[in-house]
Amino acid sequence: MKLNIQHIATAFLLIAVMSSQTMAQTTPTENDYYKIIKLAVPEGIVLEVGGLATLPNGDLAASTRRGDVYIIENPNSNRPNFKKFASGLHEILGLAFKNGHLYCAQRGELTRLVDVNGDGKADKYETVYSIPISGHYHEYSFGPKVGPDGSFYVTGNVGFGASDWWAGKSYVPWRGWTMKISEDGKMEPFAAGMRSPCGIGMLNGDFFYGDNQGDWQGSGFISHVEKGDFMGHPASLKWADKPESPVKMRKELVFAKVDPRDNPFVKPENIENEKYTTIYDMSKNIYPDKQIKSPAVWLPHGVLGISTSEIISDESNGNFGPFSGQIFVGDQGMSKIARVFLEKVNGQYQGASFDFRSGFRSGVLRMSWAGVENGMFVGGTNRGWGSVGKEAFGLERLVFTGKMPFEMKAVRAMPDGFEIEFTSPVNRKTAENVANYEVSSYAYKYFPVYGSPMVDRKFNLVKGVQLSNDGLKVRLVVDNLRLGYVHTIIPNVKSEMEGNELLHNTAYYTLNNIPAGEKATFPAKNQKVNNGKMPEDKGSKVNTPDNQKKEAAPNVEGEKLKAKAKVGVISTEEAMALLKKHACLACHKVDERAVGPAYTEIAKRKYSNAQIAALVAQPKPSNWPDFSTPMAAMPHVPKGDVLKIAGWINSLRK
Amino acid sequence: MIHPKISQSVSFVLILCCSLSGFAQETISFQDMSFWKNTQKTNWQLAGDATADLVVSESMTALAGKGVLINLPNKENRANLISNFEHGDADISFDFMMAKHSNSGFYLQGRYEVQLLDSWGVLNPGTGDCGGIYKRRKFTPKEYLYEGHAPRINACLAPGLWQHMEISFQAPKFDSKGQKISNAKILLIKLNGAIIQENVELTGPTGGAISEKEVALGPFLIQGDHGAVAFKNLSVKSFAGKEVKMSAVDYQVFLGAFKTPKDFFGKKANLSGKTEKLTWEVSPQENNLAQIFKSSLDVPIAGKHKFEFIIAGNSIVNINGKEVLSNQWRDNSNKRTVEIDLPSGNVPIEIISFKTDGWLRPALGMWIQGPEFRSKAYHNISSLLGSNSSDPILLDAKTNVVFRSFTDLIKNGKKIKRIVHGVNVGSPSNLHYTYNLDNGSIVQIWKGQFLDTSPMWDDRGDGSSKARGAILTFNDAATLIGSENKDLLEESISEKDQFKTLGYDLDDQDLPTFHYQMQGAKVSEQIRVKENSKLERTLAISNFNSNQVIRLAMGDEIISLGNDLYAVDGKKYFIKAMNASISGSGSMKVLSTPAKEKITYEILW
Repeated sequence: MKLNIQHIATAFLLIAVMSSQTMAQTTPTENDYYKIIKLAVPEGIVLEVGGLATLPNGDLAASTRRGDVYIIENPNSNRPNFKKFASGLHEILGLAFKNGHLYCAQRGELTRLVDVNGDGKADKYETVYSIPISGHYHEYSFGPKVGPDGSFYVTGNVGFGASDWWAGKSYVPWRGWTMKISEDGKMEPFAAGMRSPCGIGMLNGDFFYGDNQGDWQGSGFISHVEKGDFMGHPASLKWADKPESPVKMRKELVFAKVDPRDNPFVKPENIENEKYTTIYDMSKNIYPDKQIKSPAVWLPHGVLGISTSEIISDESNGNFGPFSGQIFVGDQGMSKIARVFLEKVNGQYQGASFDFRSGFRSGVLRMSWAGVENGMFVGGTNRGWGSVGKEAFGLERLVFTGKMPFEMKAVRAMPDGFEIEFTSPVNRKTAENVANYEVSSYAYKYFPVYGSPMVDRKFNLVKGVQLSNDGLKVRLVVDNLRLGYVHTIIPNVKSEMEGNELLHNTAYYTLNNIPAGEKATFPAKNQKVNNGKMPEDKGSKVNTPDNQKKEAAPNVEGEKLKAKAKVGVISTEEAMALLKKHACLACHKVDERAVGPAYTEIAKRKYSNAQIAALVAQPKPSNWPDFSTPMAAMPHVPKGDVLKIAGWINSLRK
Repeated sequence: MIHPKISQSVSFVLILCCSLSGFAQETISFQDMSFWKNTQKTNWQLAGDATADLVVSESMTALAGKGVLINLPNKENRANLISNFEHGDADISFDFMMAKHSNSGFYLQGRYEVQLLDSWGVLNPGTGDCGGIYKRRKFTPKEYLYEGHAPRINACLAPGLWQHMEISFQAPKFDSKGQKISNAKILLIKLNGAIIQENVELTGPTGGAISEKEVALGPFLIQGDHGAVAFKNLSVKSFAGKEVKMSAVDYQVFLGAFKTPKDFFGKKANLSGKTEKLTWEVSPQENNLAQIFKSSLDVPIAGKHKFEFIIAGNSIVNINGKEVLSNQWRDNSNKRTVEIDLPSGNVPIEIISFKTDGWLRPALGMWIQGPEFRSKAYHNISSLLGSNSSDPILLDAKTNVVFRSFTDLIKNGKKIKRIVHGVNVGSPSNLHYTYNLDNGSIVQIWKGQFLDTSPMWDDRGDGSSKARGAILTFNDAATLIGSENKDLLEESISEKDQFKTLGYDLDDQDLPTFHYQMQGAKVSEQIRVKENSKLERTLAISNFNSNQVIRLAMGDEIISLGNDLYAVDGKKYFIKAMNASISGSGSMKVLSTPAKEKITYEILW
């Protein structure tokens, strides 16, 4: 008997269509709450956005890599008008409006653009400050952000070595620094230790900066920057001895604690069981008097971003949704925006980061408010840096639909745990079950390797839970809080009204300080009996890919058969759910190249399932040399899930 | 990852530059006239140098000495000059100087004219402009001109300056009965470093040829009847056309991830056979393979041969029993090059390659250039389709353009430094310049199109752009300076000079005025293109002191030609300035003028 393949295919297709419809109805997506609207850009304009500034009348000024500054009139209409205000500038990566003039950072200059004759075009290109630069490709300059005193903050990337192309270098003063520049061009070196400080923001008069994963930077983060601070990358300290430098930290002090592994021919790689330190340790314990600033909030690499960009605060007074006063952080490589809840504990910033909105058409570089009720402009480019959004450039507007997303609105540190505030009342039954909370903590290494895996990951026992009367706040008592660690908090709770799960289920809280205060008291029913057994850190047990290869090699076929017989291949739907849960889809697509290779391409490599699992725990970027962003190590993904995913990937091989 | 690749391609360029001069090349002596047929006229003479007036038409003067060939025609003496030497395929290069409004021509094989004309300042050059292929002529019975080929850009310099032309010519070919089977071709003409003609088919002799009948070999003819012109450094490299022939290639293919040649040497090949031309495509797979190609080269003429290879992955090449390229890795776009002396007769060649990088598309190509033949490919075209070049991003100056970028200063083919605060100013008159905001100097000027911005805007980019056309590079040194330091070239600005750039204004035509401070003086300056041909620079200076000077030019040699005109570096360019004086010693001469409220001078090139 011949099977009618066409009928089977049709039936399968129907199921697929039906199930995706059902999913759309029941599972809310980011798009239900925040919609992305593309601005109409006239054909021919290459709008690789480097800077955005909303002008007092609501027009939008946008600067581009190609050196143009456009004034976009009526930007919230269907047909905004693009007017070229200035041109011929050097790869502008920032724009600010102050006292009637636009200011921009070119690669080597902070420039004031003045329209003297009022014809709508700049006719004066004034050098506010000529930024020293050596001419290395990576020496981008960002800004300015305008401080409360009217001065300008501009940051500068480090360059890289020649044969040691991985090693950040500061070839001229003040590469890797924040420069504070006055209106009349006086430059004050402000803080050091930046590597790729594309993300800058002025939050309530405080200057913030964000950096990417790279050498000496374990992951992306944002930090409050104060005069004299050292943020971690030692290349900038080459100039710390100059009389005008306010920075107390010195390169030798860094290298006394951490081997720079400064060999121009050997790229430093992570060594699994070595002794390490963290930037928090450097700051608080090793050199407490040197003004080392550990991140206020880490943005886990590969999850909330891979290349931190704009930092802006929600000043919409609720018009942009429930996050008024909170922080949004753009990400270029993942074409997304993360959200940060900041609080001050013991006078220092810390807080939680959350996923917020993905799906922008290009790499998100700059954000600017479109006005109180009109949402947020999001401008971007991928310009050879690569991004999940595949367009070369994009200018979009993110608007709030008015529907309330069910989210963790805030996570606050408590003397004995955390308080989670929800955007709408949480279902009491799910919220009061202490087993519905998963808390774990990990750190990043401080070392010259490009990026750090999550290390020393441990599960924290949740000892108790208390829900407020209004159903909006949950108080968690958590064991073994660790200072300087990222605490991952996953509440498996449902909303009271619609019964749906959290839109984004994970908070990443960077615990730099534990507040003093009263500990929680609970009714007995909300306390958990500690049976003394905690889940193990799977990350530390995972074999290396090489070991896996050795183990798997003699019996590849047998392993395959076993895998098939035992696990079987999960459905694509199931696979997508797992891929989403573990943030894999942030960088991979099924059959298209994204930040990382397509799953269909990985399938062609014919790795065994065990090898794939090992490579997820400890990636080998050398296997994929034509991808510019190395994969983050994901040892925390449970082995059962990885093997299911691996089996599904291998099923894509035809 | 990008850096190792860059350094590889840089070293390759260096090798290539060095090797170009290695082949049989004849330099024609202008110590006597023996190269030329006797014209029976006096217009062609030997001279030590020549000067031409910038203003007076047809005014050229011979200076005593030898080494320069000069044509000073008058009513009675206006002969063309024809060589005894005859050529077929050849590369020819020479320096030439035009008198104002003068007209001459360099005829290849006495039949195909490359026009030499004072085209200084012409905006849209035609077939009759300098570097044009002159039109053909018919009489029907009225004179009728047709075909011809205009240069891409006008790269012609001012009268009285030495200009440089390079021509690659391919002669017409004939069958045994004398029937033409392929037309003559101009493969390439470069004028003052800019490519102005490429791949121009010549259907027959141009107007003024010595004969309408085309031949395999013909003499040089230099037109002497239309005006004063001078030549020096004429050199010719002839290609008689006898090429190395490669016999059918024996190949072996080994499949596997081989780390060293030992892993497959002496093993049984998975595949073997014969192929007419080299190609990696004899392999069934694109990666984890090794290949050995063996053949024999039939070398017609002993002498120096240049071999170029593109081989993705590791490769080893043995020629005439000797390893000429040792085991090294390359990607699929960078060449490996070697020059070797070969005897005539049969020479064995062996090419060994192996590759384990799955991401690298395979490629195999070989070119040979010999003493008497141009570089020729010995591979299938499809064997080289591994890498695609990206689309260039070009910026034109249809109106005035002020455009910032990094700029690499190139002198004699070598990068000498990167200007990091550069402003490129482009003009529809096709004369452009780069201004350095770090010291208030003009660092280069060029003729032709404006910028290639691909290095900055393609992919990540490196922040730099490149001038397109004929380029004149200056010394990168401060313009305004204390007189005690005026003869110092590099690093002439120190912190105590308190140099500060203030930016620039644009007028209603988008033309910039630059502003800066230096040693307490305040300078505002404008650089304007005049008559499509020269730059007029005007500096308005306030708060200066009597010790400060403005440097107008720096160079190995600066000579005064009278009438406020100065020639720099062997008449490479002119400066026209009042109250200027020459100082300096050795190879560092400086032309300067004391600072005052307003200084105007011209750069003529």
